[in-house]
Amino acid sequence: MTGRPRARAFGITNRVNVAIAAAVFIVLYALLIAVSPIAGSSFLINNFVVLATPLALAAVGTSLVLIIGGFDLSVAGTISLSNVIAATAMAAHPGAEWSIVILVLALGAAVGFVNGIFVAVLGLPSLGVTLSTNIVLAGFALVILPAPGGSVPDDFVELLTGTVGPLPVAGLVLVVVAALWILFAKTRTGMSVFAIGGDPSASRLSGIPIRRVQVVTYALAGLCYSAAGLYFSALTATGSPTAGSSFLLSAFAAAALGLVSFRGGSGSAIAAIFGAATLTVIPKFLFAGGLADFWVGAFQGLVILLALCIPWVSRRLNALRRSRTTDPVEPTPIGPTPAAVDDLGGIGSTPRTRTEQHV
Amino acid sequence: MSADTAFVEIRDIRKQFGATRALDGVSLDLRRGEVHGLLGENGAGKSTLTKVLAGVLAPDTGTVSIDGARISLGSPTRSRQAGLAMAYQELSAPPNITVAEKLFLPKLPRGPLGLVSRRALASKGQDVLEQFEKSDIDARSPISALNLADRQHVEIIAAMSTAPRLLVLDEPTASLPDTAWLFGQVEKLVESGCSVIYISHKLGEITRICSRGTVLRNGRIVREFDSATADEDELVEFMIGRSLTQAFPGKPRSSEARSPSVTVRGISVTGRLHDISFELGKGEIVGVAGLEGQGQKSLFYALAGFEKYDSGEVVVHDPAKGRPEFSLVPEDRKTEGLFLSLPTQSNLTISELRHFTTFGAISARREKVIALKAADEVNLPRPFLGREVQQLSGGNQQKALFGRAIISSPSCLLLFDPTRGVDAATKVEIYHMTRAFAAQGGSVLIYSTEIPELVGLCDRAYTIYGGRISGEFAGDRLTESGLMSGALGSGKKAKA
Amino acid sequence: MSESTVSTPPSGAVPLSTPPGSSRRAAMLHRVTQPVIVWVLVIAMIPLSRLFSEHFPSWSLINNAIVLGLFLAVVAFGQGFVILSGGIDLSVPAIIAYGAFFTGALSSAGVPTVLAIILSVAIASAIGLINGVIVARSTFPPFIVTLAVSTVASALLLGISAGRPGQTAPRGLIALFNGSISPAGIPIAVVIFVVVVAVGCLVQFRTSLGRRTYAIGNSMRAATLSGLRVRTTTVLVYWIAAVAYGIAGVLLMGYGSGSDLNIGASWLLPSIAVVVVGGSSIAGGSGSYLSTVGASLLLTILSIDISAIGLSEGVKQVLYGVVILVSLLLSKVGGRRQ
Repeated sequence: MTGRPRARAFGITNRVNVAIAAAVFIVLYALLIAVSPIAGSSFLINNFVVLATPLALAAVGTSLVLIIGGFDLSVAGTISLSNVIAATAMAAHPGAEWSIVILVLALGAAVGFVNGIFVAVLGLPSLGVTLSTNIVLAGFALVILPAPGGSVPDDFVELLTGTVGPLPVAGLVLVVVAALWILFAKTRTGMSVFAIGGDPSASRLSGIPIRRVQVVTYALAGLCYSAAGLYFSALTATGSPTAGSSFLLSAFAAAALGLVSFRGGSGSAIAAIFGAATLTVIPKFLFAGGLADFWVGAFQGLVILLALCIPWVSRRLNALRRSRTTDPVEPTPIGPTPAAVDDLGGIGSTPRTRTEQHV
Repeated sequence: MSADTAFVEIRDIRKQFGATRALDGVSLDLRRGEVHGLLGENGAGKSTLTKVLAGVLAPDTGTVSIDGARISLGSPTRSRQAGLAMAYQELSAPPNITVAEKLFLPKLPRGPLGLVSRRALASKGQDVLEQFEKSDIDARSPISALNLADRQHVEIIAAMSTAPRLLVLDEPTASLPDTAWLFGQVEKLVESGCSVIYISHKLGEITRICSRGTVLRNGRIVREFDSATADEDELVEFMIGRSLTQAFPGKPRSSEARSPSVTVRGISVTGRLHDISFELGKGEIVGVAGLEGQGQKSLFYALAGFEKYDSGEVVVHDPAKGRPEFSLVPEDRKTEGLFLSLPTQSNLTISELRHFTTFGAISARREKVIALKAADEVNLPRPFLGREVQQLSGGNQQKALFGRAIISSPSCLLLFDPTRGVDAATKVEIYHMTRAFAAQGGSVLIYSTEIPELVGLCDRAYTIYGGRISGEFAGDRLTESGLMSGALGSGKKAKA
Repeated sequence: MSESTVSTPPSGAVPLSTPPGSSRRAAMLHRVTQPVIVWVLVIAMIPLSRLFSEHFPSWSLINNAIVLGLFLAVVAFGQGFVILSGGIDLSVPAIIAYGAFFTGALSSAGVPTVLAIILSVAIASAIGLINGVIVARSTFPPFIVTLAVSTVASALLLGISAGRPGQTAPRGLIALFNGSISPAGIPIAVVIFVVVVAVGCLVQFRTSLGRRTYAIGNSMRAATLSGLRVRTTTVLVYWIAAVAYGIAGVLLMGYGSGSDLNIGASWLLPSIAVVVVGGSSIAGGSGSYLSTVGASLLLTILSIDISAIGLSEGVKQVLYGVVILVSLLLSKVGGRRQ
C-alpha cells in the first residue's frame, strides 16, 4: 500500500496503448517521408488519411467487440453490403446521397443489433454467429450487385475525400470518432463494456445489464462497419460485392497493432485507429523503399507479432516488480507461462476464480 | 415467534436444477435490525438462496416481502430497488475495474452531461471507503491490484454503502484476517434498521454476531436456534447430518515410528514462502491450516511441480519406479481439475495415459480396466463412468478427482481443500479414502479451511502464516484452538 | 469469453435419489443430438435433392458430393483439431497455397510426383509448426498468431513464386480426379475420402494425442495440473492441422489440374463453418470429427443442389449462412457446452 497504485491491471493502461500505437505509426510515417519526401506533402497526406479511414473505422468496430469479449467477423460482409447498396442506390437515385447514407448507417446498426441479440439474448458464441451473418451479408451483397459496378456521385466523393482548408475531411471524421470514443468510455455503458470484457459473471452480479450493453456494443460496431463501407465507396467511387473481404483479417490486425486485448477487458479504439494507419503505411513505406511487394505481408505479420509482445513484456516487468515485495499475496496463476493459462485468447476462456490474479 | 412483526418474510422458496433440489421450501422471518445467521455446509443451498434474493436467479416458487411489500424476484434491478444488497462469496468485481467503480456499480455517478468523471468518482469512492474505515484502500486502484482481504473489504463495503434494508453477507470472512472490522460495520448498519442475513459455515462467528439463526441442509431448514442458547455440537450435527466425532476414521496409534516419506528443507519462493521445512512420514496424514493467502497454495503447487521454488529441496524417499512422487487434487475442481464435457471415465484415467497407450494408440480395454479400478476405489457407481463429469454432483466430481490422484499411486498425495463444496456424506467418504491411502504406505499432505476437519482426520498438523510455518501440532496439542491460534500467527511450535 | 451464463447447480447440492428418467435421457439426448441430426440430414438430402433437379438423386451427385466434400473434410479435420484444442487457425488459405504450389513447382522441376507431394506437405506443415510453437510458448491468442504467421507465410510464398504463381499439377495427381483410377469400380476419390475419415476419427478418439487435445480444449489449466504435456500437444495439434491443409492443397491442385496462389482463399470460413455445424464447441473441448465430416457432406450437397436450381451465387451464400446459424441454434438447444 505504498504510493499510488498504477492502473496496470491488464498489462498497460489504455493511454499508454494509444501512445505506443501512435508512436509506431508516426515513426513509420516519418521513415516514409525520409525515403520519399513527397509523402510529406499535404496532398499525399490527405490521400493517405483517406486511404486509411475505412480500415480505421472498421477497426474501431472490431475493437469495441473485442473489448467486450467477443469476436465480430461480420465486418467484411457489412462493408461489402454497405458499399454495394451505396453504389447502386446512389447511381439510381442521384441527389438522394445523404438519405442513402443514413439508410446504410441504419442498416449497419441493425445488422449489429441482430448479432447482439443472437449473442446476448440467445447466448450463442459470437464467433459462430458473426461468421454466419458475415456469409449471409456477403450473399446479399452478391445478390444486389453480382459484379463490380454502380457508381457514387462526384460531390459525395469530393466531400469525403477532400479537404477543409488544410485539413483532410477524413481526418476530421477520425478525430470526431476519437472524441466520440472518449465520451463513450465515460458513459455508464462504455464503462460497462470494459467490465463485461473483464469478467462477465462478476459484472452481472454487480448489477450491470449485460444483455443490453452487449446488444448496444454490437450495434455500434455494425454502425462503424457501415461507415467504413461508405467511406470505402467514396474512396473507390464504385461498388464491388467483395469490397469487404480484405477487411476481415486486416481489421483484426489493426486492432492487434492497437494493442487491443484479444481476451477482452482492455483496449482503446483510438489506438486501433493508429493501428490501421500503421497497417496502411507499411506497404507505402516498403514500396517507397524499393522493396518488392511481397515484403509487405511479411512486414505486416512481423509487426503484429511484435505488437503482441508489448503487453507481454509489460506483464513480465510487473511480475518482476511484484515478486520483489514480501507481502504474502495470492500466487499468480501457474502453468506453462504466467497469467491466464486457462484460456487461449478469448476463445473458450474458463471462468476465473477469485484466487487468480491477472498480471 | 416474538411479538414483533417480521420485517423480512421469505416464504417457501424452491429452486430445482435438473434433478437437483437446491432449495426445497425455505422460509425465513427476520425482524428489523436483526442479524440472522444462516448456517450450512457448502452445497446446502445458501448461495442459491443468496442469488434468488439478489434477483440473479428466479425461484421456481416462493415469495419475499420486505416491510409488508412483496418483492418481484428474478430481476437484479428490482431486488436492488427493493433495498436488497449482497456481498457474494465469489467476489463480484471484474478485475479490470477500479475500486471506486465497483463501489458505485451499476449506478455510477454522472456529471451534468451524463458522463462519469473519473476524478469525481475516485473522490466519492474514497469518501465511502473512509466512511467504512478502510481509507487505506486507494479508490483509484484496480481490483486486480488488491489482495484478497481488500477485495473482500470492497465487496462488503459496496453492498453496505447502498444503505440497504436487507443485506446478505455470504461467507464474508473467508478472506479476512479477523472479524473485528466486519462485526463493527454490521453493528453500525443494523442500528439504522437494516436487517442482515449472515451466511457462514463458521459456527463461532454466527453465534457471536447473530441473535438468531437457521441451519440449512440439502436445501431445507433443519433447525432454528437462538444464539444465546445454542449448543454448538448440536448445530454441527444438524449441519452435517451426523455427529462430527463419528465422521472421521480412526487414527493409528502415534507411537508407531514412521520412516520418512517426504522431507522438505528450506523451500522458499520469493514473496510467498520463507524457509519451509518439514517431514512427512509414510502412512501419515499431515494437515496444513492457515488463512487465505498465507502461501499454502504456493507450497502445494511447488511440491506438485507446478510452481518453481527459489531455494531449498524436496526429497522423496524410496520413490516407486514409474510412479509420480506427488499427485495433487487442486483447489477448484471446476476450473483446475475436471474436464467438464468429457466422460467421467476420461477424467479418471487422464493421468494414466501412458499406461493404456502403446505408441500413442489407446487401448480401450486397458483404459476400462483402469477406470473400473479407480471408480471402485472411490466408490463411484460404474454407470457414472460413461456420463459427462459435469452431470455429476459436486461430491461425486470431487471423488472423481480424488480417484484420478489415487490411482497414479504417488508417494505423497497432496490435497488442497478437498472437501470444499462437497456434501456431508461424501466428505466422510473422502476422509475414509484418505486414511485408506495412507494405510497403504503413502503420505498425505492436506490443506483445509475447516479446522475441525484437520483435527479429526490428521495425525499431525502444521500452521502456516505469512509464508512461514507458525506451529506444529501433534497428539494432545492437535486441537482446534491450537490450530486456530497458529493460523493467526501466534502459535508456538509444539510437539506431543 | 463466456458471454452466456448458464445457471449451473451449486456444487455439492445433493441430487434426488437416482434420476432414471429425465436427467439421464436428457444427458444422452444432448450428447447425440448434433452428430445424429447432421448425418440424418445428409442421408435425407439424397432423396430430397429431387426437389432441386429432376436429374437428382444420381450417382454423379453423390460422387461430386464426396469429391468436393473430401476437400472440405480434409481441411476441416485440421481446423477442427485446432478448435478442439481451444484455438482457431486462420492460416488455412496460406498453407493450402503452399501445398499446391510446391507440388507443382517441385514436380515441374523433375521431382517424382510422390516425393514432390511429400516434400510440399512437409514444407506446408512447417508453417503449422511455427504456429504451434508460438501459441504454446506464449500467451498470444491463436486467432492473431495464426493470422500474423499466415500473413508472413503468404508474403514469402509470393516472393518465392515470383513470376510463376500458377503451377500445373503433375499428371499422376490429376489422374486421381479424372476418374481414370477406379479400383474395383469405386472412384479413388471415394476411397481417399473413406481413408481420411477413418484416420481422422482414429486420431481424435483413439490416440493419446487426441485425448490430450480434448483435455486441453476443455480446460488448459486442469490439463497442466493433471500432468499432461500441454506445450508439446499444442505444437503437435497445429502441426498436424497444417499437414491436413497441405494435403488439401495437393488434392485441390489435382482436382483443378493447376493452381494459383489464391487456391486456398475460399476455404477458411467454410472450414470453421463446418466445424460449427458439426456440433463442435467453438470454445474447444468437445465435438467429433465424424459429425464434422457429416457437416462437410451436408453443406456440399446443399451447395450442389442450390447450384442445380440455378440460384445465383449470392443466394447460395445467404442460405449457407442461414444453415450455419440454424445449426448453432440447434446446438444451443441441445445443450452443448458453449
